[in-house]
Amino acid sequence: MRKTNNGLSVLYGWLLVLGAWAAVSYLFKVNTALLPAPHAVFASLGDIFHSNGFTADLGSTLARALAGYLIAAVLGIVVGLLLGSFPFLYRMLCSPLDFFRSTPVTALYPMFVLFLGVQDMSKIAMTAWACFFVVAINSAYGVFHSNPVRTQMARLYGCSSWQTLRWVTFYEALPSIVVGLKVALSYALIVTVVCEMFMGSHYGLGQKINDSYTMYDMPKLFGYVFITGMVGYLANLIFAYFERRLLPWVKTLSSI
Amino acid sequence: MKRYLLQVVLALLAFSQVNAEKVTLALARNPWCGLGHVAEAKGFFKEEGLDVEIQYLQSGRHALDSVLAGSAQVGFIGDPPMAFIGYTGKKNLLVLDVTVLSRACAIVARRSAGIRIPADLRGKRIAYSSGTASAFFVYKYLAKHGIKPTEVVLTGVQPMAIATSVVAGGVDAASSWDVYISTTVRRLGKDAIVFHDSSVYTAYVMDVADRSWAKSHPRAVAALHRALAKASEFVAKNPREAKQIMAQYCAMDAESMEDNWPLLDFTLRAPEQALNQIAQDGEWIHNELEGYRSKPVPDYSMYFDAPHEKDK
Amino acid sequence: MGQNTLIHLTGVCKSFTNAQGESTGVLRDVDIDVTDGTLMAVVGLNGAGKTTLLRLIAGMEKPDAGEIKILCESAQYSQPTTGIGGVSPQNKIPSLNMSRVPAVQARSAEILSEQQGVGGGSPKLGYVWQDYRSSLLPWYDAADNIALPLKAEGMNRKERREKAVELLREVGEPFAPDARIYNLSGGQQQLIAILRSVVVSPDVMLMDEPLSALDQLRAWEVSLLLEKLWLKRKPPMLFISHDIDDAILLANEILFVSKSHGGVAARIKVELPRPRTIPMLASPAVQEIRSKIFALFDAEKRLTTVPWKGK
Repeated sequence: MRKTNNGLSVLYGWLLVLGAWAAVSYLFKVNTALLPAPHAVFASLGDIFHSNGFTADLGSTLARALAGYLIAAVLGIVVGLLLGSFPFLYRMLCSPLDFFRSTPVTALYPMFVLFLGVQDMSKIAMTAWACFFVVAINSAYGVFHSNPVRTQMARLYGCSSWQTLRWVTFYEALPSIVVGLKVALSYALIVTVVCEMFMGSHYGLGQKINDSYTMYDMPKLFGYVFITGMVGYLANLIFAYFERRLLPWVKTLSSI
Repeated sequence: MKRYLLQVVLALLAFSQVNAEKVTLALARNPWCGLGHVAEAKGFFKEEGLDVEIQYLQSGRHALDSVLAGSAQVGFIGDPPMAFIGYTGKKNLLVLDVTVLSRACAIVARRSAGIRIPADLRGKRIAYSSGTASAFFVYKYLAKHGIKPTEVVLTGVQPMAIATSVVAGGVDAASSWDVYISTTVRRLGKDAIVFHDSSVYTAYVMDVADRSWAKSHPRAVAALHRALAKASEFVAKNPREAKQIMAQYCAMDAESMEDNWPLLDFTLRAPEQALNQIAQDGEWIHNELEGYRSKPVPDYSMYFDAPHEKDK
Repeated sequence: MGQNTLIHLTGVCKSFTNAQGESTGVLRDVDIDVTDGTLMAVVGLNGAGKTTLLRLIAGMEKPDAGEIKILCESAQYSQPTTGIGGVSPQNKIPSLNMSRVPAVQARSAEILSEQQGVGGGSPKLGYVWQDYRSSLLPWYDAADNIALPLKAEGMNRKERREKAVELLREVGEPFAPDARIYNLSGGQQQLIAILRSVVVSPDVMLMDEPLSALDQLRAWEVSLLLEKLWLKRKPPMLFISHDIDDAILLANEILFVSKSHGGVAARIKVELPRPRTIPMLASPAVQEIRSKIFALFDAEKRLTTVPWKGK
């Protein structure tokens, strides 16, 4: 009974959004050059799915985002655990780290273009750069906020530093690491699409968004934005599913 | 009697100052908007009783956005954005004049990428900016030399990034126009090779106004036309000073300005002369670009006054 | 295996600096020897220093002055003297800035890693934390938690899980070896902590309120179980208890740590036959011991202002 209620509420929410959109379009006759009507956007969705490059576009964007994300995840976790385990390292680096994390990565795009050109490498690098700081800082916090009793316990019972890291500290930090990974996931998609819009590419959702914009095809623009949004939404759903199975001992897990 | 006459004249002058028409004009920092820059620099707008506020934007396409959104009344806009906007059915635009014909579109490539002749472009990565003159130029240029779009790797790049993309090696060639081509050539030095072909595509830049504004402010429209006509004359008679002004407003160096000068024709022309070009663009879009085949080619005369509609 | 283990404390002093920067003396000039065959209950008021004493013995804290030695046949372990009254806590220990947890962690880790045995190896310790929840690893199941010390020694998975299961059987298998920690009750979790502390047959057993989560019946059950486990090798064992009856039931010596005294006020022997039984608690000998302890508490009340201080 509870489950159906929740499902229905979600449905109502979406209907509300659609309704508002339709009202604004049909009743208030908003400028269609700015906000296309729902039927036009749905029609364009059909066009998009049937277009030649769609799988290539979707695939390229996903591949770039994923590549950048994975690089950032691995590096971020390793560096984060190091920083958390060696406080003097953290004290040294926390200020520059925070600085780079706070600088909008899109502001650094000219530098990336200069060093790595406009190919995939620069987009992946930018994505990895943006996501790295999120994961690293969250991983470091995970170690900081880990329960000292557990680490003490491990050492008392004869675990070496390395063993303690593997069997205790890593798991202790895991909830924070997962938070970092989740934020970085959305971030990866955002940065990749923005990069594609600015730097250009042969295939990519961001490229298509930019093209629709320059060619005044508003319905298509909204269509591509919607698809991009769906990709991000689905990615988060998948992540949440695995998160629940990965951390059964953590009581406070996100719901969807 | 003379004193009264003087007073009347002064009053009229004062009156015209107070009632100077306010116009927001969207321009790009680009030699293609040259007439606008010259008119502003030489005070022609003020002379014709126009209180012009200039919005400096990145490109003609942005100028069109500004006019559509209502933050500018007039903008200098190229034919590609006009061709595309036709497909949206937006009618509230009116082309006032043709301010410049530009043959400055070109493809700049790196010799080190193995490009000596147009045919070498086959199989290469070429950057262009979608929705702009560079898009039209690259497609048409390739078509002229028998290269299909599928035989090259076309990468959409923002105009400002064109130079870097070629220099940094992300692409082998780029289709763009004067400012960016010059920058790229300068940075590549001996490695640069440029492919011009004015027969393939000529860009028309027009001043385009919000139609309802134009219809309700015929005096301003006329004043604008006169100011631009003066600018056009000035350019013809004083090329050196005109180049200086444009170079200054566009942040271009004198050398690049010199190189591009012969490719730009600043004669002020009647708007109808652009109709053909825009219509051709529209047809081309319909035939060549995916997704447009199902849409009918728009009737672009909606952006022009029928001869009998013209005031003055 | 009757290793002639001896816990030897001389002149041990320990104080802490609270948040206001004031120094609170906890232990002053503590001299104790705890030998094999001693099952010692440590009782006293909150803040008297019972946990501190255990932590000092375990090596999780360093004394400000004095010496702590654990000697046993296979290893000799000592903590160096840091001078009597000469060295202030601030100099030796990085400031306990709790907002920077890393410092705390690093410190404890440092101290534990300094257990350098003379003559090979360091003594095996078993410690049960008062906060048993925080000492268990919820990502491992019950058996893996119990077998953690064996894992640290390098024993393979099959063998150590077997040992854990064996132990569980001894205590009557109150839950499955593959049970998840977070699905178990407090008492069951505490039991896991206790079993873990005995799985390597430690040279010294230290327990901080091991029966706190148990109801009276279970507490007695586990006490008798602890006795059973202790009787195998009879290592020196100290356990902190807030329940006098629990203390008397299990221990053969009761250590009263006095707050006002800043150290050991009394050592009371409990000479009851082993194995113990619940009815023994009603015997007159036990009554006598109880009155002695009550008297000690009474004296404490009069001598201290007893402000509420959480441990």
